[in-house]
Amino acid sequence: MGQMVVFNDVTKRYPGGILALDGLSFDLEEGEFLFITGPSGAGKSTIMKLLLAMEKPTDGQILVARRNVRALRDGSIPFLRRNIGIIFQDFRLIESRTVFENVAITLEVLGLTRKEIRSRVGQVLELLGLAHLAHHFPPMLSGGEQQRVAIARAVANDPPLIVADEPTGSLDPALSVDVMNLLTEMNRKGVTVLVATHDAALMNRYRARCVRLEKGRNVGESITGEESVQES
Amino acid sequence: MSRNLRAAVYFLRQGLANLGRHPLYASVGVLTLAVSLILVGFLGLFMWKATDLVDRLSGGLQLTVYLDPDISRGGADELVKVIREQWSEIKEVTFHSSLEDQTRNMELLPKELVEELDPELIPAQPYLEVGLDIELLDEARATQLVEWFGSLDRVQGVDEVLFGSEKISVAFSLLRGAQNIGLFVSLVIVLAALFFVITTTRLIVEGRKKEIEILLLVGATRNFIRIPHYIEGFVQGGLAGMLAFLVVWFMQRQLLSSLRTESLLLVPINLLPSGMVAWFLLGGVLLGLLGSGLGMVRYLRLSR
Repeated sequence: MGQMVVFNDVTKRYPGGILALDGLSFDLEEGEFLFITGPSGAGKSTIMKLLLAMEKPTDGQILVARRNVRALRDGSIPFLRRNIGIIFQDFRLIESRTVFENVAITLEVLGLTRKEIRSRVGQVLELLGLAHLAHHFPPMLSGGEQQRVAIARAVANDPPLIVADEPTGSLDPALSVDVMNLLTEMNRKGVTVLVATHDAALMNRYRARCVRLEKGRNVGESITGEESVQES
Repeated sequence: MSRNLRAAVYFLRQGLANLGRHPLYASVGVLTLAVSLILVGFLGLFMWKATDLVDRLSGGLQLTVYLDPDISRGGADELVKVIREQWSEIKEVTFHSSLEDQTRNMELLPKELVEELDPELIPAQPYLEVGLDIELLDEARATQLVEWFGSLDRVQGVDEVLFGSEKISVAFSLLRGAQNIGLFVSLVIVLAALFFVITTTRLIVEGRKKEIEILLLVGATRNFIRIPHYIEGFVQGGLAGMLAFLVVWFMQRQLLSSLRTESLLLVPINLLPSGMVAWFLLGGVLLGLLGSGLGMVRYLRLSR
């Protein structure tokens, strides 16, 4: 097994001098499930932006699936992102497209045929219990259903890595567990998962490595859920 | 189906689907383009009609060179030759005899008077009718021509030269005025139309910012986002072109119909020359593409 993500002494300073990451280092093995936690402003969202090449680091090295993100040309960024399934707290669904169309876009960008797309999206929606909502529009769905659609979109093209930024931040506790169970299920199937969250109670339901951030620095690693009940 | 063809079909389908997904944006886009085209279309018609008016006015420009009553036909022919050789801008020079002049003058008088009048008392003298082609003249050359013909009455055999120098000046003032006003108005209208289209497109792109961001995050290339947007612009432009043509056509119909009813004016006026529909369509499509291109380029340049 190799490393899926490597952050090596990464610093990110925004214009105006705001230091978001300060020499941060951590790594994530292929097939691993990793939590990144810390208070608001600790740098969790910045890590996501750097992973997706939405921002460039000021200093240090970032490797994603053995690609040096810092050295990527703009034209290569879409190809990096096709290897990463992304889940956000605010779901980021296209409201003018149906559930089916929202999930299909990750396959459309790959240039699959309509038949392949229909088949794959059908399977994913079935897996996530969304088949009956395929022709609904996101505003017609509950928060939990919208997050499931976002997960369906993230996994539709079988990416080796899923990153989730506060994926349960907008959900009630029951739905949060539901979403986390889906992510651990994906991880069991071999997908590497990185979840940024500040919900300690939720983290402690699952056994996984956890990197703790404070002011953009790695202040310690631990294993969550060692003393708690595993997910049911 | 090859990968490229599949991509082309996909882009076309997405471009058309986007119009249905965003009916408000699509309608605002079509209306913006149509209003711009109507403005530019009316300007085009104004310019075309102004040029037409100047052409008609200047087409009737002519000089009359009255000759001595006793000039021989050979002398008159010699004079015609001199005028023709001197001025390539002259369309035609026609000689009229004293008898023709008398007949023309008699036609101008009331019939009762002509019957009672001694024909010998009606003035008559030979003359040359000189037709000018103003399209071939520039203003400096027209001034030279007026001066040359003004001095022609000192030439042997010439009695008097009558010419509409004021008419030439009016024609040139009109032409100059139409050109200056037209240029200024065109600039203002075209700039206003472009500003209108680009601002609306930016607002539309801003409204769809979230959609574009999501597409970028799931690995869409810039072309994947851009091409359906261009297709949308193309279709919106075409629709706007047709709409603008229909509005102008309908307004012309209403105008002519009210002229006929209120003024009993039965003139075959056609403000829409043939081929105008093609110009409206082409203009619409170009404006649509330009608007979508500029709006999108700016946004995509700022996004990663």
